[in-house]
Amino acid sequence: MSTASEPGSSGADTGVSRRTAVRVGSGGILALVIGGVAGWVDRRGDDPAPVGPIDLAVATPTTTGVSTTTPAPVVVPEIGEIDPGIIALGRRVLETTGETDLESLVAALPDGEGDPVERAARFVRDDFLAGRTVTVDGWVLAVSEARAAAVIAMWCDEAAC
Amino acid sequence: MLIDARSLPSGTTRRADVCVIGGGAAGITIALELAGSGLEVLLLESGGEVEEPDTRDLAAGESIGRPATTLDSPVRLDQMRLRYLGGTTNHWAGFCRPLSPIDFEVRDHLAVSGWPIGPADLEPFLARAAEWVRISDENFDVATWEERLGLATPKLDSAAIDTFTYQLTFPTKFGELYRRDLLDADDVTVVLHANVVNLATADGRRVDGLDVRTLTGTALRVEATAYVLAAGGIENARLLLASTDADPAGLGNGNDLVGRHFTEHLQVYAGFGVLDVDPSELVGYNGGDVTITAGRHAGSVHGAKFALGLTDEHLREAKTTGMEIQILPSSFPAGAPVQEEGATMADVAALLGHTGAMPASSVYLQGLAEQELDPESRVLLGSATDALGMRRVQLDWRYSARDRERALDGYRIAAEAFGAAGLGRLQLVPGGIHADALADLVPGEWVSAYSSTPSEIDLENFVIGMGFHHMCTTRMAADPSEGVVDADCRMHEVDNLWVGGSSVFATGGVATPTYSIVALAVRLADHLTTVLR
Repeated sequence: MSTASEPGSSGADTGVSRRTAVRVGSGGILALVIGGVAGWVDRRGDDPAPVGPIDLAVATPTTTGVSTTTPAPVVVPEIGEIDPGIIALGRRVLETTGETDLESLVAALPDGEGDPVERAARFVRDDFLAGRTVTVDGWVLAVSEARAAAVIAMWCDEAAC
Repeated sequence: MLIDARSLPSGTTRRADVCVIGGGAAGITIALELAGSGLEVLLLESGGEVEEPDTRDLAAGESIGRPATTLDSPVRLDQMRLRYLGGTTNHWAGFCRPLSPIDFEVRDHLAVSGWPIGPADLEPFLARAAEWVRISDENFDVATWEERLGLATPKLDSAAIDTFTYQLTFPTKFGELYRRDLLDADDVTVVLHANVVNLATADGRRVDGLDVRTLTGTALRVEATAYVLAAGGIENARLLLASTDADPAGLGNGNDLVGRHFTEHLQVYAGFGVLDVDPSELVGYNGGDVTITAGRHAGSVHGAKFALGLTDEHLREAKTTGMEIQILPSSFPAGAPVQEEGATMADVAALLGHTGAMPASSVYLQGLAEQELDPESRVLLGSATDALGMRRVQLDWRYSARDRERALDGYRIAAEAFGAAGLGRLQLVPGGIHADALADLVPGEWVSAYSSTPSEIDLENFVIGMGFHHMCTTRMAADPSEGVVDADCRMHEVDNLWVGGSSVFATGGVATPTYSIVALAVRLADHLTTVLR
């Protein structure tokens, strides 16, 4: 996994505030995870893979659903506050795929250059176009976004967040 | 003219140039198309002008194959067929869509396929058919309808699935809509309560007359130069199988094909979807209304909407069968989670950045899938008899796990195209949603609309409903060894007997059938005018 070609900083300062992270959409989630990888790798003593800042104007979806009760966000190391739904989904991805190895999951996250949010959105789109999908409880998800959710869940579980 | 068979003296013989058996969409269209042609027409209708229990019972029968169901509720044979003037248009939902070119093609990957006619053979009749079913015209082009409705549809970047147009005729009950025309036509006589119990023949090559009975005991005889059997996909086969004057196997059944290849449109509900766009971008899937601007129904309002369908190119390349999917937006109450276990809609909504437990921007999916023809899927005669002494129908409907798998593949393609277009995420739980659950949901309450957590999709057992589209039981084929009627809808084995309705469909395709039934009826009327004058 390498994002070394991109300028910027580690995942800890991707520019995403803790309060807004919970509203980042699918592509944004993937971008956050890509960014978070740097901090995660750094914490393990490897060479961090920096990513650029994330523009929330891009990362935030144009439409959000109506919320009657907003669940309290969970603070996930490397990323910040995350909607617990994403963590729950990530756990279901792990249960469904049988994946247990965080490093291989991280290594499988998409690589490339350019704006991380745009790049992440492109990965998701390309996954769907190529039929690279995983079905979790019937939901057809792009492999990249499913992996991102799974990584978040594993980070969360690892940190007992 | 309308008369009641019960008012005629028993033993009466009525004569005509053309006798049409069955007053549904096909029968009424043929009769009125022949009006003014110089041919005297008798239209025999089993029922009256409203539904009557005794007549309805004549349509009762037994399902001995796959259960006849509307998804999770069994349905009786006398519920899916309506036996009074107008026939099943009396409960028609009004969805109109032409057959696709691939429906007519021989597809080597299917055991039985191919029509002896092509789209060009039906095209000249589509405009008149559009008028009969009371829609704007024969144009179903998506761009045209986006302009007419003022509604755009999302563009999908997929060669496998695309948008198509439904024109929706608002309740168009042929018996009510065309009653005045039938009354006014000097050369058309509608005989109500006239039940054909036998197509009499001496040699099996020609129909010599019809034995007609009423439930009040009147016995009539009808004789004509030409006969058109247009009593519906199940009843057409029943009448032929029950007409055993020359052959105990039935009339025109020398190749044991009458009643075989019974085909339905597999009605498959899938799961829900979470949108990643404003719901207003999908409003085309809800559709809108337009006013008919020309023809006999000028000024009438009808609807149109868009849906998704697998492309002909995909069906050829993937060697699969057709599927259409309706995206039904905003039908699910906001704030109502739809799953108690597993990855929920709320979780997926969170992935897409929606905050809260449940997005308002949700959809659910409903599909119709083509099933592969199977000669063992068939209409038979049972041993029980009805009030007229006719053997009741046994319906041995069959479909395979492969049919289910193909439907699931269609949904998956839709889900992938939906995701690639940035529209959202779809869930595949075929048959898992109980239609009734939608009505029970209360916004803000947690309700499970699923029968189970869909961790694995059960290809053998997920629920499939019927579209009440009974097709192919007297299928059209050039070769008598492959079908019951020829390209002109004439029985291969019976010179003066033609068949109308979806029983002549050579394959079921995926388009809702009534528009094509009417187009074929118009074509048949023209053919009869030509050969009988």
